[in-house]
Amino acid sequence: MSKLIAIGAAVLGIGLGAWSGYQVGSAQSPVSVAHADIPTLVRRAAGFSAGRAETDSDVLRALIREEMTAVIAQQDRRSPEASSSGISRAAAVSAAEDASPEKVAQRRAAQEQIDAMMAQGVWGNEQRLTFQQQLVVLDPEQRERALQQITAAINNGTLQVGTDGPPL
Amino acid sequence: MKKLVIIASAAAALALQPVAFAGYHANSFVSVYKSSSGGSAYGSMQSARYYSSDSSQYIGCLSASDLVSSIYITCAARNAQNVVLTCYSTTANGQARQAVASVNTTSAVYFAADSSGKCTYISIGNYSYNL
Repeated sequence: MSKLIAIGAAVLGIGLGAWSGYQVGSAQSPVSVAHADIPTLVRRAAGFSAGRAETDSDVLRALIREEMTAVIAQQDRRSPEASSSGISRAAAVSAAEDASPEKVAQRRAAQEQIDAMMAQGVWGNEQRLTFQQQLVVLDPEQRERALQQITAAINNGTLQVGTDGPPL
Repeated sequence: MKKLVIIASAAAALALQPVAFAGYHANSFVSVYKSSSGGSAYGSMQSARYYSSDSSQYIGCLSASDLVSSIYITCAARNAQNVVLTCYSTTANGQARQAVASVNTTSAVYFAADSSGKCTYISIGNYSYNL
């Protein structure tokens, strides 16, 4: 019987200890750290319990806008002229990277060959093939110019087309 | 002998029978219009290639790429009188490139060029009546 009383007392003691510990812990106020540099994203709604809140959409929008502006600015810094001229960014970067003296010389030679063919006034199969071969050597700006020269000359009749099929 | 001649004649007659086509058909022979501000051209593949009586007319488009990006697209046409019109674009958008890629034997092509030769309009119509 005394054994039963001892066990009961021990269980009661443990139970009381656990309860008091829980009470002390929950009585302390929750830790709240205020960061002045971080905008308040979550606004506590009055009348709601602490677990419920609504997102501050203005602040969220401002954050997204800021991120988007930074990304766009970064892209424009990489290639400002390509985005304005309509030339593809990859092509512009490629042209800049390939501007070695050898490449520049190759491009000059290609341009000269195209000019010489234009001066002949006749556009046949041979000229078309040579033009296509030289066109890939040119940088995007030169290519645009060459295409414009040939096309305008064909359309206004200063270049006589003698190709078996399309001139380009 | 007489029987053989009859059979041969019948076989020849059958072989020479034209293939029967049904449905609506319209020819669009290649026409080229030029002005000081550019020009335009129109025509269908089938009409140019199979229904025309001349050996001059053609129409079509080409798309060129260096396998990194699209270099240019170009369209060209020549009418029965040997008048050629062509246009090009190095800045064609996705729709234009897609239109050029969709050209096939049922296609009728229309394109317009400005005075510098740049394509200002491309239209591809794929209809059964072009066949």
